[in-house]
Amino acid sequence: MTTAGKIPVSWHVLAASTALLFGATVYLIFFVAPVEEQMGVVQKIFYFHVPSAYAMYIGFSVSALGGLMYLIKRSDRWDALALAGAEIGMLFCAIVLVTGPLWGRKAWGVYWVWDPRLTSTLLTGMIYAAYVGLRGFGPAGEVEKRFASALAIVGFPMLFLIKYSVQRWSGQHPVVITGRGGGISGDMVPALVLAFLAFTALVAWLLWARVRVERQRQRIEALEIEAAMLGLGDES
Amino acid sequence: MRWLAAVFLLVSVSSGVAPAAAQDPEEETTSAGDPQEDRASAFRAVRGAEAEQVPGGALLIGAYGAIFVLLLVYVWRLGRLHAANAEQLDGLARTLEACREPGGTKGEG
Repeated sequence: MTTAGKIPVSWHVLAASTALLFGATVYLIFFVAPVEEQMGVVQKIFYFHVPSAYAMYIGFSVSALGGLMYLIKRSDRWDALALAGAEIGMLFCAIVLVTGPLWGRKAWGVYWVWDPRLTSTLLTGMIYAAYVGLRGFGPAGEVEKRFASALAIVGFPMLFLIKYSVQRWSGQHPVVITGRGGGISGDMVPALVLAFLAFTALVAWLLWARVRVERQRQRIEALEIEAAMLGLGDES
Repeated sequence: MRWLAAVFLLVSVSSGVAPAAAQDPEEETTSAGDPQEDRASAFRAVRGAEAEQVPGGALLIGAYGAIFVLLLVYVWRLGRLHAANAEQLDGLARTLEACREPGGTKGEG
């Protein structure tokens, strides 16, 4: 029997769909969506910045859910999901924190301001960076898994803080697509909608892939224990 | 995932460089009709010829470049991990299967 496992066709279909959606999104952003009146071309960062933040929300929420379920059920499946969510949330958080300042350089004249939304995003990222660091610097035992799960749950309320910080404490961060903002030009909507679809597919594909890799690693650990019990030693 | 944590920490540390420059008291006195205030609440398509006083092209390329590099590096890393794990799993499974067969190498390792 081959334990490596075959990658299901649906995984390839999702990967291809994601690639197609990204291609179409990039085309709409650069060849169809108009240039913004005041900020110029730099506003086009918005089409990937906002969906990245949304993907970050999905990743961290999945991590918190996985952590909570792991603490309840002690199942490695939930731990794999929590780890995948934290890692992928971190990836998109890094994208948000790189693209945001590049936009801010043009819009505000500086790369960074201690705006409530920027600061709360940074703090949330630090919590999940701690999670990823904890799980990344060595094999995780039961204690590490439980502590990491608690971190994922602690980080979750920060997502609401990011969302509502602009409403509670104002700040300089744009609020274009919320109820308070003036909205976006109709010509910009298709690119934004397609970008959200592309990032939804991407985050689902990445979560699937990362969970699969983590489940492989868990299976390796189980087989190594079995081999050790059979007296096969490290060379097995 | 250490590289991602390192990138994140780098961004966190470097972001501490600019805040002092951002605390311009004159900027706090924006009014309702101020272009800066409008920019924070609405995006509108340009009318007439496109004109930019400060070119944002480099920033745009930098942003999209960073996005694609981060995504591709992460996907590449996942692919490598998957391949390495699959190879290790196959090796372990073969060893255990041989061990379980009659006359296998149980206890000889």
